[in-house]
Amino acid sequence: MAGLTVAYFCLLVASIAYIAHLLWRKQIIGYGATVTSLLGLIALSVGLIQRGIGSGHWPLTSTYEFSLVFVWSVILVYLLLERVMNAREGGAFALPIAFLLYTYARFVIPGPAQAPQPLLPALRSLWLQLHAGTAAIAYGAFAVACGGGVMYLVGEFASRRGAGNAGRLSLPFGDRFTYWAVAFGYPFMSLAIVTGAIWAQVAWGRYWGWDIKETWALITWLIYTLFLHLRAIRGWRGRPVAVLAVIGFAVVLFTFLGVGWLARRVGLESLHVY
Amino acid sequence: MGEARSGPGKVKTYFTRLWRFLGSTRLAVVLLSVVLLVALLGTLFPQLTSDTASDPAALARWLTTAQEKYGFRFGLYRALGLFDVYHSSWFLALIAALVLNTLVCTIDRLRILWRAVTARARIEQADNFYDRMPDHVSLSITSMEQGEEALRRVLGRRHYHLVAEHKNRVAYLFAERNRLARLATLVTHTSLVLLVLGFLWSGWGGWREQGVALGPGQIYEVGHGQSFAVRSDGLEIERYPGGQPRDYRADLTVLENGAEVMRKTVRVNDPLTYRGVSFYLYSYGPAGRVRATDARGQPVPLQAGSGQEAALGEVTLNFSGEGDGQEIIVPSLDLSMRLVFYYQGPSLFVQATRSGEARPFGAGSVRDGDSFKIGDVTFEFALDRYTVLQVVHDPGFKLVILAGFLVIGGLIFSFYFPHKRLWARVTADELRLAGRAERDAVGFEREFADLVERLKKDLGG
Repeated sequence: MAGLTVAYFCLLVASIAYIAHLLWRKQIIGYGATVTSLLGLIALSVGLIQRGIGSGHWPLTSTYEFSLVFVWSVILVYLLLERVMNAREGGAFALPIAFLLYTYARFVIPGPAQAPQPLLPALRSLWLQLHAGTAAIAYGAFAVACGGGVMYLVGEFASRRGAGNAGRLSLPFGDRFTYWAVAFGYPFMSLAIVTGAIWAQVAWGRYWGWDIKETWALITWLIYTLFLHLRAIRGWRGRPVAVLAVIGFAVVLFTFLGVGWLARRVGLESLHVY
Repeated sequence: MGEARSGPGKVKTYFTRLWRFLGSTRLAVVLLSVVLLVALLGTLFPQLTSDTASDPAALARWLTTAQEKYGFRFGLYRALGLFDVYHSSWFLALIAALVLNTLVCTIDRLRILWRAVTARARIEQADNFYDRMPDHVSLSITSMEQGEEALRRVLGRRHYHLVAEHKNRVAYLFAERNRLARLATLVTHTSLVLLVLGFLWSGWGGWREQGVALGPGQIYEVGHGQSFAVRSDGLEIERYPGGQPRDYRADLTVLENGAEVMRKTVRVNDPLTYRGVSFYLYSYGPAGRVRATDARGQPVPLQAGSGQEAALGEVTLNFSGEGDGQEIIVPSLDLSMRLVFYYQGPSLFVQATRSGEARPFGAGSVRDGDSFKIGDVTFEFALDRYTVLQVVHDPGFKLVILAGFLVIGGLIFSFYFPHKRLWARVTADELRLAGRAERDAVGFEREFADLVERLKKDLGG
């Protein structure tokens, strides 16, 4: 599992480097940040593949494994976006999210829950793997969008205060960065819902049962549907959609981690609380 | 003309206004927000599912728990539909409004989008057009031919579809890609409407039987207008070395008029489907089989539970789990037997009582294959498993999934392969190039920059 540890430190270094690059605008630091993130992505991929081979199934069956793929997806989507937009400002906001998620996976999820488990019969399904994989990619993209939203809001705050280097964060850039990440993740979120529905149909004969996790996935989807439509209305770009991107990611995190708690509180049964 | 405006003209304006309102993105945003909040509300209250509601025992349990939890507010909440948000008429009305909004909006845009796709693009543009495009550039060249050929080479390599016009020693070029992606949004939106229809079809045209428990050899008549039955042929469990279950396999046979027409080993993620009815392996439990024969080896009638019809020689009992007890009656001996299941063994604890007596006259524990005699009747016991199936007829599922994939296909084209257009104006000494992609595609900025780089290289070399 050396790959996973290397990835964790790469994320820490890359987060610091991106923030340093944002503050001091040294080309070399920015370059270093990109290379470190890429190394982190590769190390994480290696770690995930090792884990998959070791357990004999895709690493997508527990909260811990899903968290790792979630982190992997945040780095991947961010690096894609960095390449497409040819700018590194977003890294200072996206990579720390990846680092925090990874910290959660490593230090908050208890050790026994991190150990690979044999696959239960209900989880032996290609549709489940597609469902979890596409959900992880969508969540990663929405994490990056949240970074973009924060970047926009920070830029707006800084420019109003007329403050130093962060004030040079371009608002149109932040808006487009956020939008692209959402546009990238949205088809994957839709795919995650459809493949999840197919899995539910194959496993239980019910593709949609208003199960609490299903409903929260729908709420997540609706939030980003709202985002895309709101942005199409004149005058709503910028701050409103930036705020929505942040709220959207809060909903993503709740869907991912909070649903089990809610289900226990309300006293509902959920098939998804593993 | 002035007179006419207060007549049909005015009606028309009202209608136009209403139509615009119904198809507006603003209405979509409002409706999406409300649906979102209502969906969220439903997760804050325990929902009374139709499965629970159709099972009297489960319904009673649910009602007691909910009344305890909400006290005097229970009645109010129930009247408001908070315990069945997703099937309440007002939620349905909201969804209907969203569907209407989507349809009107789609019809509205049909003409514009159709024109965008079928109309001939404008090749020649006014001089001030180029600088107003999101991406634009001006390059110096040495002749019109040089500029035009460079453009043709660079754009051709990128699979752009290119047309040109020449006028007064100026060449105008128009290039585009993924024109049909303009229609993707129509596909997405109409498919979403289809998906909702499929969902309703599932609810209204479908049925389901929950928790059908079948011991080995037991036969289930499907009913619901179907003439076939399903027989369970037993269930096997495969385990990991650590003891966790690895695979459940249940053998099922479809019977039509007593004849076997289909056999399948059903797994958790692999149901049996026959004539639109699917059988899902849902759960399993311990089953006990009792066989009774007299001294000559002839079967003795047995009755499972009181009030049941007597079966000749053999009954199968399905236990819900540890400690669950079931009763059989042996009319010929005038006694009843109580059997309690324990996982230890696994075993059955048997108590025999003569009718009219309060205390059992004999008791003991039996395992699979054990037998004993009372009088001249021999009782043989076998321990097995019963299979629990969900039996489902869902006519809407295929439509929902098809519509779901169409939605995704539409989204992929809209977001990943948007319609891209480029306009160029080439004179003897200047090449101006401008471009835009639909949906403000971020990748296009870079693509445009790359194109310009290649153009420069081509022009330089």
